[in-house]
Amino acid sequence: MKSITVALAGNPNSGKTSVFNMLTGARQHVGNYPGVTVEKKEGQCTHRGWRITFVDLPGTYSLTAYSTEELIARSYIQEDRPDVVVDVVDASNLERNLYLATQIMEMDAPMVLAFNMSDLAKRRGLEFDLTQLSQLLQMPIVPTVGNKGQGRTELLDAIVETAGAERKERTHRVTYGGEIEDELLRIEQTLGQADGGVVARYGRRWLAIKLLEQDEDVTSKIRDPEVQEAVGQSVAHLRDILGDEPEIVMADRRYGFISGACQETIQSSVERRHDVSDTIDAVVTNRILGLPIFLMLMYVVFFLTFKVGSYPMEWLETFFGALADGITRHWPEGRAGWLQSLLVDGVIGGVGGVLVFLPNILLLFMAIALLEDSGYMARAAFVMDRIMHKIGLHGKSFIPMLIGFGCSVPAIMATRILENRRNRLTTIMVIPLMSCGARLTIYALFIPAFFAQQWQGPMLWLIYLIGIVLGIVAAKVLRLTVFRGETTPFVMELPPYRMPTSKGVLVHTWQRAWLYIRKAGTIILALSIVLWFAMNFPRLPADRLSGLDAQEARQQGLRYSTVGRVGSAVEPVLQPLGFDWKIGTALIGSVAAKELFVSQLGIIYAVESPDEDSPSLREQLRTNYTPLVGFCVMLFCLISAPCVATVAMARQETQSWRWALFQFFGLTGLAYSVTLVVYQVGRIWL
Amino acid sequence: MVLESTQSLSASLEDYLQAIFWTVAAKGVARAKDIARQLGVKASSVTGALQTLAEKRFVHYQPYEAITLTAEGFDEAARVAQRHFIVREFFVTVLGLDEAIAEKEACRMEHCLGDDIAQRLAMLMEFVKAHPDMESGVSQLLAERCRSAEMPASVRSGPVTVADLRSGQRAVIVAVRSGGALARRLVDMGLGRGALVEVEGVGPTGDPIRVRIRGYQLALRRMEAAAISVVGR
Repeated sequence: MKSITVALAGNPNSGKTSVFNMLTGARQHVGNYPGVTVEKKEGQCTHRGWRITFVDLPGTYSLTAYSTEELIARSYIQEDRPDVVVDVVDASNLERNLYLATQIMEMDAPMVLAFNMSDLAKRRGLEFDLTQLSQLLQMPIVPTVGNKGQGRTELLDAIVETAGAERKERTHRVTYGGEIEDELLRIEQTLGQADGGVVARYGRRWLAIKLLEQDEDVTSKIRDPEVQEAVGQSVAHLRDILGDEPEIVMADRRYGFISGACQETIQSSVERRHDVSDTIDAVVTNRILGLPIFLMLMYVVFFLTFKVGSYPMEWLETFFGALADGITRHWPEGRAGWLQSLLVDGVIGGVGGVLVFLPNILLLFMAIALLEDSGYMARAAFVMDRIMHKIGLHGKSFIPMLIGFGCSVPAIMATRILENRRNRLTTIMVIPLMSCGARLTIYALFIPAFFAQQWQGPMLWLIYLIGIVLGIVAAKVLRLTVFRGETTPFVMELPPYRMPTSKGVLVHTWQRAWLYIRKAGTIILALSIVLWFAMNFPRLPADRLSGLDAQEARQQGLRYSTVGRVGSAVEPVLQPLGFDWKIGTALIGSVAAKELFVSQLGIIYAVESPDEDSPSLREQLRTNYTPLVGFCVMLFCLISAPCVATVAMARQETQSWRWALFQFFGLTGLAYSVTLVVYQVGRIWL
Repeated sequence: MVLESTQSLSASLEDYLQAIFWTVAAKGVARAKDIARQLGVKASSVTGALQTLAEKRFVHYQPYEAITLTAEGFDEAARVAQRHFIVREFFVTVLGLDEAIAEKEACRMEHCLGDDIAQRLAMLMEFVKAHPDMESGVSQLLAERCRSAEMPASVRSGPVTVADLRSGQRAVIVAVRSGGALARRLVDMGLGRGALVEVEGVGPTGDPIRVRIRGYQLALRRMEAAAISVVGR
């Protein structure tokens, strides 16, 4: 079977992803938010005896060297030479969408134009003379409606035909006007003597255009001093006579070319008037109502996720509990007891502990999908940008940070909505400082143990506030140091509101949830098992077990294990914070999951069925520690070492252990220094 | 930005140029009948004026074909439109005149006002906007600001930028003044010379702002909008 490769290019919000799904049948994210497709996705289909591989390029507005996404899309077209490039354009917003097309045309790639959302354009009263436009642009044009699956066969026909057609030189192209064309010609001529390989690969005219635009990427490829000098002269000359950067004037001329083409081929039967979208915007982005509406929606999302989600979460907890009980009950007496413990405490405890969050995750991602697909997410960023910009982040960073109060794992996944890598990494790094739900169990145990009734509320509030303030400071510091760089321009499209389709939302939700499940099934399982071994081995020698009751045996066993030993070993290090080996051991256990801190402490103090409400454990804490130590423990738990699930997710989303470990040790270091200062200063005062 | 007229036009020809400028900005091209209708004159007099403007190389014009502006024509029209906008806004915001009177006066003064005077008016207007309770030292401050290398961005990049427009106001972009990536990004998004931009609203804290450009909606921060010089309508 003959095979061809097709690259799918297009603006964000052009419905590119839905066209990709229509063509390949792949279940994949369909969003209504600028920059939703960040990674490269592939899919396949067969048509009339051809095996067609589709590569989904990042959604971009242009093909400059200024953004990673644009560079990725551009170099794929140039370096990988797909047989056909399909440019998906939003027919209802043609001018700006064709801007990308003019740039792909300049790369001399065989093209097909998918006129997407053609139904919407028709409803807006736009009529196209596609035959004439197709002649002007010298490429086939196929009307499609991606989310309804219309135009699939026609598009595939056009692709196959274009792939098989002989390549002809373009006669119609953007002309940049006398002065610029003269300089382009001059540069093309000097290129004639330059490196033949580069010229052959990229094409003479395209190179000349990019050189005149002072494109960093292309300029670095052309080392010939003669060419560099010629380009320098041309740029200076044009700057002089045009009064502007050649790059800017050339971009203007492309729009001029498009305006000309549209003028001749588009008839608009109705004047643009205020539509529903404008009315919604007038309310949702209103100066007075904008923020309250945003906060209310966020509250709804939060409520839905953690309140409504708590019921199925309980069912799952019951299920895993029953599963663990069942295994324990039916386990053959006295046979490989360690394996039983590994299964029950390690595997079910670890993976189950993460999977119980699945309902929350599903609900959360469904809410996000609804916000994205409807177009509200861009408005949320618009409303929050002023505040987030002050700490060097983007308006969109607010959403993952808010989710962090529930659980860091989905919060880190939600940073995918951030386009800029530096912004995204900064946000990921500070997310664990937004105190998550699991840490609440620690506060619930400690606060009533040490503080009088009337101080309990303010104390909890203070802990959360410290996290937020540290998060803001940390973000600012990171943006000034490790992730330094100019803030991304906010310039962001506000797509028209659309009714989300249930299919789109479900696909979208499922994809992310699946990622979470896969994660729980692999890295978290592995780390849970490692931690189980650390907590159970080496085992207490049999002779030392004699005369101990079950609780004492557990207590001694934990102390004898790797975790207990490490906890004891780090005691000298933790002493300046006011912590003893018991807290140290519990802290190490809490790396598996924050809520384990409480049960570990319970085992150490040999309390029966310990949880955050157990009065005897509180009693023990009260007699053993001062309120200052109690506060310091909470402070340390708030800031320090994110749990293994968070580390695993940070690794996954940053694609590097380096950042995950940087976060782990950075936060632990921060926790240590902050707690040290608080304890030492506190000791003087109290 | 002190602009000097290369070829002076009569007031009536300037009016023709204005009509073409705004029609082209809205529709891409202008046709003789659009202009006749807009100015309330006969089609035959339009033809004559267009020929004169074509001779002066301000417009591209062939009988029965669409009319577009040359680069010089665009600059000249933008200059006049700029003066018109400044004068009217000055009358309204500084002198507190009625909008209708201000508009009428601006229509007359746009033809005879010197560009340097228009610029001073714009600066004064800027100052008054920034200091609602200003008391004295206006002229002194103006002189300082003219000498100072560190003028506010809105003055530096031309009297009026997108950041200065009120909600609902429309303007034509004359230049994008900022460095490298930002300028390119703005122009890539369609905010180039000659494009019609309309401010649709502002965010809860007055920043960012929402604009409509080439038929779609775009959000940008004020500092980014301040890089886009416009002439308002």
